[in-house]
Amino acid sequence: MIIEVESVSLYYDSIEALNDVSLRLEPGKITCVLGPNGAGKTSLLKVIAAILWPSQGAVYIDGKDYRLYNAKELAKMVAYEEPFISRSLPMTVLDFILTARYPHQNGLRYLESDEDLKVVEDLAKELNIAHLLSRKLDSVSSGELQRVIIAHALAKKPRAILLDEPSAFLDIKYRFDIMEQVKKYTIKENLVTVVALHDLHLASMYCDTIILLNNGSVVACGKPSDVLTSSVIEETYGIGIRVIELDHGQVAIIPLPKTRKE
Amino acid sequence: MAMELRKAVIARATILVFSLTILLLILLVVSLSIGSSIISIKDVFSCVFLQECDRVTLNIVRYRIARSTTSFLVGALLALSGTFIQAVARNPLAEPYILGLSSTALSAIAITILVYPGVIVSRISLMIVSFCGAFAGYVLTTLLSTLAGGSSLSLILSGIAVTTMFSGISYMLLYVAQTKLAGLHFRPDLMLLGSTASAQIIDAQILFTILAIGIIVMYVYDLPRKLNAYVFGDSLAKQLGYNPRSLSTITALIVSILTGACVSVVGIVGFIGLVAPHIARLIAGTSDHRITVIISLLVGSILSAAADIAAKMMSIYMPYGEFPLGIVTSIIGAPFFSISDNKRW
Repeated sequence: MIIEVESVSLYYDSIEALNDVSLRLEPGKITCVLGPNGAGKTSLLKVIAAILWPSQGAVYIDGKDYRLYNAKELAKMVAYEEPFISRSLPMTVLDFILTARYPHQNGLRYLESDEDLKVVEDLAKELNIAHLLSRKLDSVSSGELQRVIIAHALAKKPRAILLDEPSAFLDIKYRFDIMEQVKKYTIKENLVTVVALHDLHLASMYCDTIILLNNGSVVACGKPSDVLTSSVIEETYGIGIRVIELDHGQVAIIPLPKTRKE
Repeated sequence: MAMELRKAVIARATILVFSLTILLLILLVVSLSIGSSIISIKDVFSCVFLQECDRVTLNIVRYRIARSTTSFLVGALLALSGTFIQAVARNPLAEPYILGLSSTALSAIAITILVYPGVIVSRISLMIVSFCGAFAGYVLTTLLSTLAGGSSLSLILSGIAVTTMFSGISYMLLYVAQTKLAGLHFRPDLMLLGSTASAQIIDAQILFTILAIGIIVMYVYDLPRKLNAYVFGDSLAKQLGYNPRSLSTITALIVSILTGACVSVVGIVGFIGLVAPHIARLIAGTSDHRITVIISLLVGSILSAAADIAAKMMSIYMPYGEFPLGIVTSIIGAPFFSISDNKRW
């Protein structure tokens, strides 16, 4: 599946959240969306996920404007996940992950099929959350919750996953852990993967393409070794960076406070 | 793991449906046997289930069946309303009574009776008026809550404000109506506290029809599944292909119809809509709406039937005349409300 975002602008009331954004997203690759708070990362992900419609421009999935797909088709193809789950009623982890199977279910069938349960069971084993399934959502830790969220995204059997800040609230081990899982499934299932991140170091380690947003516009787009090493990063975030060369032309980025740049 | 867990939940729900239905039937027999004259439970049982009846028992059962079934149906409708509105409000403390739907419905009825007293004769017109009042109450409460910041606390506080105000208004209007309509058998005090004493068989039939339509609409519209998605937030509902705004509006309309129907027949019965979904989630061990709607419906009927039996007993053993059903549900429900406020089930 190929997703093309063509000159998309988005307005909330009269405030511009995205300004003339164009992108091409390919399967099997992790695209990271970076940018300071309020740069439009979440807006971009929500537009691609069809949760918000673009005010101008269009998004094409396999060459077809995504507004021409019906809601259920679209729901099966694209999975968008927020970094938290709203918990107003005491739902279990299994209840939550099973909601991802709803687009695949026929309205006349009251409960889920064995196939739905099998998909969830297999994913739970692979992501090592099988022991959490019977727990209430508010009794799992942040690290476990992110794996639950990844499982929810994958349980749809989607062709694109859009993850908003999957590494938020996690310690360094879980950050790597989550991104390893994302990378594994992106390659295994040939997914179009888009991840909004704050952590530049993590982005430099795992992303194939980086899109840098500032005030709703794309200010840089390209390989991590190009985008992250440029002065655009320093200008956009108002920080300093140090680049460490790793093997295979990979780079690791260490952000520094601006005052210590010299 | 997932498979076993789910099978266990479904098995538990099946056993519950079975045992709750039996309990419901037992309560039906008990309810029919109690009244100004007590007939033996054995006689009622053989009358209802075995079709072997002496004339006296048959006549008494026929006379009492309207009140008994009405009390069951009111409980079922309120429990369904409560389950739906808790999901739509994303708040386990929401309830048609607490959110102001019941008292605005009663106010609408009171205004209509004052303006056009003839409406008392037509159950259907009363029901439509009541539904409009209930929906207006929902809109008013959500509007106030949004203005106050839209948190779950502001929703409950707005609901209590609306309930308090319109309870007062409806009592005032019904009091005026009472003096105006002195000739008719019209007891506004019973409407305000919810009583099945004046229920006729036509009421039970109307409530049953509305319950049946409500259940069919719920199934065809796939409401329980949609509510499961909805409680996790608008984004999640949208990315599963549902439209959260139309979902919440349609659900509020359904709740207003169910609640409005109850209010037009028995008046305000509070707390069943709150307590039944809580008990349902607790005993079913899940919050999956596909399961809790069924269990909650049964629990609501049982609670309402039991409360009505208690109200009847109080009327028999105390020389103060008719005790309204709503008094009993308030006495049981209000402490439950304060407990569930602290402890989330």
